[in-house]
Amino acid sequence: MKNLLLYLNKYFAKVPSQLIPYRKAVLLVALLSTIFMGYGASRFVLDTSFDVWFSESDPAIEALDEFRDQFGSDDGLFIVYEAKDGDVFSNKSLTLISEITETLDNYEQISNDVWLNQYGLTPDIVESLSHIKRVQSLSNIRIQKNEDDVLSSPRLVPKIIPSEQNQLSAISSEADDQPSLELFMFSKDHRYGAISIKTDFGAIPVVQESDDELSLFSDDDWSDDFDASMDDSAVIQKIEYQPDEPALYIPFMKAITAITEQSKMTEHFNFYPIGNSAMISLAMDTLIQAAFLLVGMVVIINLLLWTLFRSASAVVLPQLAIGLSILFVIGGLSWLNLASTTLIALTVMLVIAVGVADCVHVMSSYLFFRRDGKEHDEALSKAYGKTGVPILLTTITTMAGMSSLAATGMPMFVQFGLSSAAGVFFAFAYTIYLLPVLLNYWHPMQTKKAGNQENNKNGIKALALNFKLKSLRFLSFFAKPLLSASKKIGLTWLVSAEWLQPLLDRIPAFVERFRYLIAIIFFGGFIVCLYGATQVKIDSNLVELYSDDVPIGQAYDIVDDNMMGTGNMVIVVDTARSDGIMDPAVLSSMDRLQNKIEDSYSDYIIRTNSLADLVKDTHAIMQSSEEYRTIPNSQIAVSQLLYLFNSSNPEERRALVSDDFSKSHISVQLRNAGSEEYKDFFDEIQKDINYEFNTLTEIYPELKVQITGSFALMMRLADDISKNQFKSLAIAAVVISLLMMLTLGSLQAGVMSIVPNLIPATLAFGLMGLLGISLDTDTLMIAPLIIGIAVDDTIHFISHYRMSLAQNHNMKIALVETIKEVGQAVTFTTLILGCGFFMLTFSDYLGLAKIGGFGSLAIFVALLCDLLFFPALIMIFKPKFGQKDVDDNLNFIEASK
Amino acid sequence: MNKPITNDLNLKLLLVTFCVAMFSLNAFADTDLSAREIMERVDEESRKSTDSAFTRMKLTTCKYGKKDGKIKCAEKPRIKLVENAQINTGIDDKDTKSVAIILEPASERGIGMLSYSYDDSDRDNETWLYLSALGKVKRISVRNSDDEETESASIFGTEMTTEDQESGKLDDYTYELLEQGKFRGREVAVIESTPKPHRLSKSSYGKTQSWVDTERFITLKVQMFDKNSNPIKKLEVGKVEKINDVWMGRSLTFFNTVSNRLTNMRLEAINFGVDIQEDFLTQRALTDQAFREKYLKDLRKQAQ
Repeated sequence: MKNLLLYLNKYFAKVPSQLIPYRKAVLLVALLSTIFMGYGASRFVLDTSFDVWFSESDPAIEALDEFRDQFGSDDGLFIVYEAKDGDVFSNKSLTLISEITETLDNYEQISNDVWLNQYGLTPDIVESLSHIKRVQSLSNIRIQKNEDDVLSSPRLVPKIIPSEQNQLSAISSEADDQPSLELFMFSKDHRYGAISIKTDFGAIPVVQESDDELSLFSDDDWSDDFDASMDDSAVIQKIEYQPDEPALYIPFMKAITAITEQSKMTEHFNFYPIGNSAMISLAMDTLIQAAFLLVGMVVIINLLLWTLFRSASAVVLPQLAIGLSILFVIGGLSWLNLASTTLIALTVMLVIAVGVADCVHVMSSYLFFRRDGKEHDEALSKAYGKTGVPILLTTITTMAGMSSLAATGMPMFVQFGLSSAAGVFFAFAYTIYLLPVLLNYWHPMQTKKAGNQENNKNGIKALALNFKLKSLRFLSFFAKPLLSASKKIGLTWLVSAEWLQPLLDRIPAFVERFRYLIAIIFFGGFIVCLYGATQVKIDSNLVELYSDDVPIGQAYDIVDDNMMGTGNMVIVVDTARSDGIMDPAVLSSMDRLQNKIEDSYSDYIIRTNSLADLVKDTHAIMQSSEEYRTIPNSQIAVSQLLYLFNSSNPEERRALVSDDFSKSHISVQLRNAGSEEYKDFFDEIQKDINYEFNTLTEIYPELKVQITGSFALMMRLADDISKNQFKSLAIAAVVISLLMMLTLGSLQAGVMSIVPNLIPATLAFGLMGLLGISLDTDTLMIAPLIIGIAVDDTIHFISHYRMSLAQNHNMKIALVETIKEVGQAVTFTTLILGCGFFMLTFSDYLGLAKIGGFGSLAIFVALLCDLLFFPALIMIFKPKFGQKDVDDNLNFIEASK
Repeated sequence: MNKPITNDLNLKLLLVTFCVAMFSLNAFADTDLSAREIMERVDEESRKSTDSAFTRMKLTTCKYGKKDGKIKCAEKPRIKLVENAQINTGIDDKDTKSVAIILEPASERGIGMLSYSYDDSDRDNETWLYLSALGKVKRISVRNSDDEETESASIFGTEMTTEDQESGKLDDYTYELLEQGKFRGREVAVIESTPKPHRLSKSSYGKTQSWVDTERFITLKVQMFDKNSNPIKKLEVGKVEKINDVWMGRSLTFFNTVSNRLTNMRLEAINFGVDIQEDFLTQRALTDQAFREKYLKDLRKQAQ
């Protein structure tokens, strides 16, 4: 292993000089492959559907698909409104709500001009309102009346809304007598009301090829001797649904918002939209904000690259590394016909971090040697000799870490892990094989004389150089005033790193003096954070993903406190037998289960509803007595009570019970809570279900009663992701540690490197545990990133130290050299990435803000580990990393005197 | 959910269903008619002979699939057998009284509905529902003014809806003649009907295409589209026969091509111009089984 590392050292040192003669070929290959990948990337597909999180054979997804197949979409929009006059039954409230309802219900009757002028909506946005299947509000809801053996279902509020107070009071007291409307359409105190919009989202069938004009007369499968006889082996065409894409929700929400946000509406109401459509639309807004923050991150990185290196090439070349690596990842995915998921954003962040780190290490080392008086070629060779192996090692460990995500088996993570690993590899290939060629043409500390000579020699090169100089001058025109201003306040001193080398010089003596204290502080901190990490609650709560300024949290609280609640789930009852649901025993079980869970979990459950309620209601109505609010004893009676319901709107009937009455479901309205709480809650409910329905399994051996619905599925998914991520994180830590031991060629070095490696990641999780911040799916995704970046710097540090030790056989020289050379590069990358990530903390989306905050914290702590903790460990334990004849005199304090 | 009992099942509509497939004897092979004129002729023919009718029909509903290129029920079909008697009454015979009794399935046997519909728009239509298992009659009130807002209801819980049965109201649609030619051996014009805006909001369909036999003014096939022009449903008319000097399709099949379910409505017996006394079409026909059976026995004898 030692020989291999030495061989690799020599190999990397020779790479630049061996590539330069073939520089044009290298550039040509790079150019061609870029064009190839760029062409592929032009076919880039981003799959943002919900289904990508599951493998196709996932039983949960199958169950949800089956549910939607049977009962239609469970994905609607619920717009809660607060009447500013305190009464949703006032004439003004009712009139305005009626207007919104009418607009939504009859959107196709409104002309394009009106849409454009009054609402500012273009026809393609208005078109999205076709997803509305039904609008219900106080202005059009009907109530059931049963007087003198006459059944009627008049509107609660007449079409012509009365203005007399006594008439309005009559309406509101009539409404109070309707238990099914309270909480659904209005709050108990009449301050809040709701517009319920049923959509077909998630259950939009894929359109079958329609007959075109030509085939109007080409007869189809019809034959006149058709009889509706049964054939078991007849093949039913399977209904496929369009993927549930956020792109569907955005224009829909835009149209809805344009209607509700008219000034006359907002003067009288506050609106709180709830449901997937609202959430996804909000997520899109945050995504746009995130894009701006990412731009800010890039600006900061640029600024720091410029001030640290004082060279345009140092700004441009690392970004070229990032750009090309990302292009190659996207192009590669597209060529493989794989659709990317939103996780590609994290891949981009990782590639930014790794690409910058790789290039900065090379260039920092190069500059170190140039400032040491070496010529370009020699400095470049030495820089590659020093940094090549560590870059290779960091590439391998990061790739291994990302690939370990594949172990989760969740398709989205497999792709994310592998494509990120590929991105890291591309960054490596760029740094090692393309960067030396590019540096040959354009590098920091270019001597003017050389520039002039080349100017004369080569026309194109001269032009390029001229352009470069011009653009630099142009930039400096803007930059100069800023620079001089910053000089006055000492900012230049701070960011130009003039302080760095003197500071690094003082580190060895400082560490030696306080080595035990440093070791105790870091180790103590590590232990505390380890303890903290065990206390981390893994919990994804939709609302807590957003900062307090975003109104969604407020909306959820209002709806949970005053209305039907923001979550829902369904308990599907499948008797696997025709008419099974009409069995009074089955309906009674459903009824008892509803009562049981409403009583036991009143903290979560606001109300439940099922076919059993419908049967009970109809029974009481038909018998004209509340005594009969029961499930009748005979199946014939049940069947006849359901007769009218069967005969009413088939869509509505189908939404509640299957065509052959073998399946139905209980819908449960829930308050919002985190996935952790809900997971237990779902487990408990499943126990209640089993208890209640077990007695029926003798009559219905294939009876299946289970929980589903997109909300329940999302909660389960969040919990699954968390667990899987945790697992993959553990695998990553083990794999990286093993790789470190192997590549460092010594158990001692491996063990010694693990602790400084683990500290940054443990710190992030430990702090979250200690501060009671729960770990959600988004925060968990950052973990491999943090580990990757933090480990990188430590690997550079340790491997450099080890190589130096192998060359000099002197611990003192090795340590000083490492701190001076790698310390500078590590500080640079830390400043660049730490500040870059810090930008993200300004996001409203806490998922991203946490990534930024804990990410930058981990990056800075990793720097302290490298500069203080690792040297302290070396001074205390004096490890020889498998070397013989090592001078282990590490006396810095006396030397500095 | 909040309004399960809103749909008055006006059984007049059931008869109109068969009328969709009706045509007169004096065949009219003039294909120079405009789309609108063709539809007017179909409507006109369908309105003949709806007076005093007795019918027995079998409604078969199932999920369907294909076997050897033929459509078959892929599950045990649900079968309903319904008898219906109807007369025209009132001034100029413009009011209608009808009674419908379910014979099958056993669980619904004896459920009956009595409907009075009035031409006078100020007078509410009346429907009484009788549930035999509970022995209760309820009047279902649907105000005329509300009627037009009532969503299209399923007929007996099948794939047929009240909207599928509606006739007349030609002014509510615009018609376009798409193509003319031979279809199933007949001269056929394909006509596309698009609801006008005020109609569109109440309709489940964005447009329909009808294959009309231009010699007999009978609709052979109807393709229904949703508001995004996706095909969602179709009607096939089969078993065309001459009954009481009137040609009709005795088998209508509605295919819901989204849910892959079909309902086949087969006319088991039909007779026009039968002698139905007005005193039969009262609540007694619902509640008094002996009274009802006596009458129905007589009507069955008259029917083919």
